[in-house]
Amino acid sequence: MSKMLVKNFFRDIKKTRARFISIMLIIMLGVGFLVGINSTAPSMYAVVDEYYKDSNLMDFRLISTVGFTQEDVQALEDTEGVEDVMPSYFADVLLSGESDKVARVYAVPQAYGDSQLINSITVVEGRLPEKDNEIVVGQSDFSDYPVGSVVKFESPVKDKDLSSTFVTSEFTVVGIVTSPMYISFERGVTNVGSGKVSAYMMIPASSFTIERYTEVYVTGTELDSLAPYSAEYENARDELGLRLELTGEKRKFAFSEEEIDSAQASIDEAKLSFENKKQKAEQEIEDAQNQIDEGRARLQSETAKAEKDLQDAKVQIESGRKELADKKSQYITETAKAEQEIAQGEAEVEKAEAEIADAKAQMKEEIYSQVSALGITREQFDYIYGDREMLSVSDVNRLSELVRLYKGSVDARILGLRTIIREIEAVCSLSGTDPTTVEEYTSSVNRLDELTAESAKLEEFLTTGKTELINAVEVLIDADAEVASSRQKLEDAKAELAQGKVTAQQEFEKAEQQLAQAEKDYNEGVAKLEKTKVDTTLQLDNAQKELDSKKKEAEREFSKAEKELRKAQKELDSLANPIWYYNTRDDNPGYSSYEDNVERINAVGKVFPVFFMLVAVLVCVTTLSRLVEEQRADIGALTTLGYKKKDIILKYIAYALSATLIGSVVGIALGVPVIPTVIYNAYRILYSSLPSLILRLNLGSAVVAILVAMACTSAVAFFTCNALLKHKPATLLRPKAPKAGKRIFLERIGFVWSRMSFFAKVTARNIFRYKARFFMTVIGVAGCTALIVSAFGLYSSINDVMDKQFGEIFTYDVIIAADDSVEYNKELKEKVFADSRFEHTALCRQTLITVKCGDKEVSSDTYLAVPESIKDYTQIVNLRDRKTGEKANFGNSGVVVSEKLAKNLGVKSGDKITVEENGVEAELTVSDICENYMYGYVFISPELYAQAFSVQAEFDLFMCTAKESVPFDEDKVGSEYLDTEGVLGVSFISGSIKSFDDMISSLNYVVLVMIISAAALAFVVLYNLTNINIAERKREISTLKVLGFKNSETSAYIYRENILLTLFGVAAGLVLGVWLLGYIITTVELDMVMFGRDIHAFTFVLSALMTALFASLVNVIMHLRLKKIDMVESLKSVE
Amino acid sequence: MSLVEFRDVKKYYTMGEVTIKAVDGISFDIDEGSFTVVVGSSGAGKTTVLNILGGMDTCTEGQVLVGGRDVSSLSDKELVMFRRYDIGFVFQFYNLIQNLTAKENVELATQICRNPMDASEALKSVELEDRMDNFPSQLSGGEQQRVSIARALAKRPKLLLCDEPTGALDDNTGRTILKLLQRKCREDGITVVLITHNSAITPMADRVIRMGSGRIVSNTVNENPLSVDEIEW
Repeated sequence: MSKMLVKNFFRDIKKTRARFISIMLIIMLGVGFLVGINSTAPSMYAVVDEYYKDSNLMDFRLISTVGFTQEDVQALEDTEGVEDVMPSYFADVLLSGESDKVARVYAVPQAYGDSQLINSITVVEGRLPEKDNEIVVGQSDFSDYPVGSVVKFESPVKDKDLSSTFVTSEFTVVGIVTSPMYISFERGVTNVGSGKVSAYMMIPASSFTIERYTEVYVTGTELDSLAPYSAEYENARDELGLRLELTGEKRKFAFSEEEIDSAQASIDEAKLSFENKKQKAEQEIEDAQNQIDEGRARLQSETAKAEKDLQDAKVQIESGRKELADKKSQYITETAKAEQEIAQGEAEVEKAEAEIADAKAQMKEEIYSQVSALGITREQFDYIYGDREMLSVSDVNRLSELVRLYKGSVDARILGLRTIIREIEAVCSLSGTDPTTVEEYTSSVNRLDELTAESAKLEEFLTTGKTELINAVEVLIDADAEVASSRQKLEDAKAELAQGKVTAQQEFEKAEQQLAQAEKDYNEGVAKLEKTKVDTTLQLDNAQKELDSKKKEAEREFSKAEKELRKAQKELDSLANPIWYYNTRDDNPGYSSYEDNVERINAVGKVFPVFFMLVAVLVCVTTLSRLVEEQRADIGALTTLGYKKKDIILKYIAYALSATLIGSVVGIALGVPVIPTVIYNAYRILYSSLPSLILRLNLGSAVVAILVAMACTSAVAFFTCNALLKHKPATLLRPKAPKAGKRIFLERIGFVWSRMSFFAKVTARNIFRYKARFFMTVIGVAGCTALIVSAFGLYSSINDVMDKQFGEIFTYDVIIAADDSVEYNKELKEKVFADSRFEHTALCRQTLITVKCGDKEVSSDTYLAVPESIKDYTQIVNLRDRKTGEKANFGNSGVVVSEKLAKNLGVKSGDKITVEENGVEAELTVSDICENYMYGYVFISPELYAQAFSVQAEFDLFMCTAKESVPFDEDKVGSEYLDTEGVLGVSFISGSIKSFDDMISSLNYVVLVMIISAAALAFVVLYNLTNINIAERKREISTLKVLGFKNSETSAYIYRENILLTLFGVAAGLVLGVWLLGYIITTVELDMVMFGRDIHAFTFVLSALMTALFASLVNVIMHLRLKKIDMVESLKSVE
Repeated sequence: MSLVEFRDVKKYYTMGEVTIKAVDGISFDIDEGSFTVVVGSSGAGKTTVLNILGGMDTCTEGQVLVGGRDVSSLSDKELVMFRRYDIGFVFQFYNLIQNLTAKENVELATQICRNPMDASEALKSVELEDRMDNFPSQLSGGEQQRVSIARALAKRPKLLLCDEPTGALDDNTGRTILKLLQRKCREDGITVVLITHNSAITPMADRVIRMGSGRIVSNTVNENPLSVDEIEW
């Protein structure tokens, strides 16, 4: 290049310094940002690399459930690849008076044997402990223990002192230290106290009274030289890990042989005796149960029989009653008949008696008449008769005697008379009188006749009469006797009847009595049966109750015994199968998260700045091409003067390169220290223990960025220049024909065009006239807007993770982990479910799994969640579709897979996945996909789990939400549950949120850097574009001024276009931003974290507003520029 | 009655230590309705005079009265209004907005005026009614200049200032433009001030002001101005 050309070159730069500086600034921003961001990760890695090396950070921290012996340590040291070993002690203790805050107390690192010191600590303040009761505390925001204060420890196990751990429980703080094990504020977790470690402290090893070493630190020979977090490191570490595990296995075997076998034997014995006892007790209970059952059966059969007997008796009673009634009625008829007969007989007898009485009276009279005729007087007769009704034969005889006597007297008298007669006769005969004339004779003869007749009569009576009478008497007597006998008979019958009546009455009474008795017996029987039944049932029930409670008690005792046995077995198992934990650096709190954070920045650096630079370069390119076009006349002049094409092109390439190079160098010079420092300092809020930043330029990205920038700008310079130089010099000297005006498409839409104001038409025409400017502005603004959108979007997406994950999806406040299936600890289950502080409680099981689908496999941070009750669980865990918000289809038909996991596996609902849990594989159908942001989850119903894995799920995790109405004291709940038997750990969602929030807050700085950079770019781009716009239209603007346009009108004339273009750009940028954000998010996202996918309205609004703000700012600045434009410009010839 | 009065107008530019006297104390009057030609070589200060007269620049010293109004004491804002309502400007390079049609270019001016001519009418008066919807690139130089004149006239200005209006045109076209300007002056009574380096056209003016090195060399009134057709150059 000739001297003049060089001079011209510098003149050009001076003349176009605004443009030159614009290009420089844009390149500076682009390259500086890209290289700055990309240098952040190497710088941040460099810090820890050096820090870890300086402090000789362990590669492995071995913990054994039984501690380590000297032999163990020796064996480890002898393991191939091991550089240094350092056996040490640690213990978790409660800080006295700090309500369950846990401190992890280590021994101050001390070199072991020939080995180097591992994890060397840095004293920040004070000194290292020298006496047994001195302590140093880890540096943190936990500043309760300044140098000089006293720390008191308490055993985390109740009612146990610390004498088996430390020589004393009171220590004086003599210093503050940092340990490479704790680079962040994270202190890790523990299974005592509140469940999280609040502080770490260190005391002299001699202060520990623990017999065996509790931990051994190991470093690897080769690992020293490898960069931490690198794949090489991890591979080498894993290799060493395997060797250490081999050593561990050998040592464990040795331990097992020495110590365990006898203990196992005694446990086995205890188990056996327990089993026997249990069996026996169970047999007894069964027997008792059988007896009771038998008793019940017997009661039943007996009751049935008794009931039947009673029934029979009742029937009998009924029939007896009936019979009795029949008999009674029969008796009544019979009696009536007999009485009738008797009455008839009596009538007959009475008649007969009357007849007889009549006959008797008649006979008496007859007899009297008879006998009276015979001379028996009435008195005699009555005398003989007496008061008798009739005469007996003897009476007749007596009567006849009387007659006889009477006859005798008559006869005597006859004789006398005869004598008289004879005498008279005789006299008369003598006298011969007729006797008959002798009165006396006649009287006497009469008399005699009479008397003779009488005597004859008497005689007759005495011969026949008497007999007749006797006969008659006899007949009457017979009749009388007959009547009497009839009467007798009748009387007898009467008597008999009466007797019968009495007897019958008696019989009836007796029968009735009998029936009553039978009834009474029956009723008594029923009552008795009832009583027996009730009594026996009660008895049986009591027996059952007693048995049941006995059984329950027995079961309780058994479960207790079983638990004890399990515990003993577990304890022994933990000893018997002593577990060696091979903790790597990844297990150090903060170690992995540091990598995550750095990687996240790295990921940001891969996308965001690239796009950023893309925009920058694009804008530069357009600016440059414009510039070259403007220099047309100069180029023309130079060619005319005979300068070589090459030289001219070189001049413009030099212009482009110098702007680019200066911009790049300044950008790198500013960006590399500033951006990593800003970001690192933001992260040092988290990683306070780390030393200050070691800047590492990402040379690769720097070289690439500079090369790309230079290549693009110089290429543009070359091509535009070359294109110009193709014209003849004369053409170049002539002003470039102004771009012809053209009708635009809009004009064809008459009804729109005609409604537009004049200036609107002008603006529309102008916008579409300068297509290059249109695209340049729109793309530039769109790019910046997109960058701002993605920066804000990233910010809200990251913040959404927590808000959504723990605000909407997992809504639990506390998780309580049991040390075993709660099947064996029903008390705990009851306690948690009954805890009134919890609104909802769900029991579940969560295990790490490997999920496969086709050739895709996801194994890290992926969980299988089995709820005990879907209903409980879904009250706490909200399984829903991210877009529609609909509840996921969670049931027995298939599993619900979290969104990111589904995406990683490439599955959708209806697909099949293979889930491997503890080596058991099961093929499951995906029934739905659910929204989830952290980790991967496969949600499965307990029934499906049992079916798929052929085993019932054992639940050991409680998720609880706190009641909103009651203040929730986390520390209290935490310590209370950790004190509860069988609780392994308690964790609070607030803790997760806090640690994530802390992490996010650092990332927010990164986002802030992004936003500021994007904003700066937006500003510069807009400034540059407006600048070009004005430079190109100076003539037009000055003409407007000459025409009498006010400054405001002139600005408005230009701004209308600017504003419209900016609006187009913003609109395009919002669309582009969505895409860019999507791209950035998927790139930045870690495997098992899904950032929020919602782009909030505020992201758009804010981005648009910010761009608008910059546009306005640029417009304000440009307004001043416009004001300064000289109207004389309009008079100049067209260049 | 004079429309324009320059009273000892000076314009100095200070560039570092050097003071350039672009206009160094000039005075002249221009009658209303007259056609004035300011003629001088490059650097004579005629453009500065035009700028000051047109309200595009201010004088360092002196007084400029246009229609009795002291333009030199106006503020920037008042100058804008002055340009807007009182001045019509015809540029050497037309200064049409390429992106606007002839009519729209005229409208650009009429949009901001109080009592403008109709844009079509203005174009008609410069005999371009047929090319109203053409873009400048579709017009010849003379036509473009006529659009420029129409744009200036449409504002109904008190004063029509023309800066080398024929400078970029060939002779014949130049003549047409000059004729148009003369016609406007004569027929419509518009006061025209035209600056040029071409002395040949001075005979058409009512008044000729010759300038050199920022001063007035001569200020003559042409009693018998010729029509453009009569002028030879």
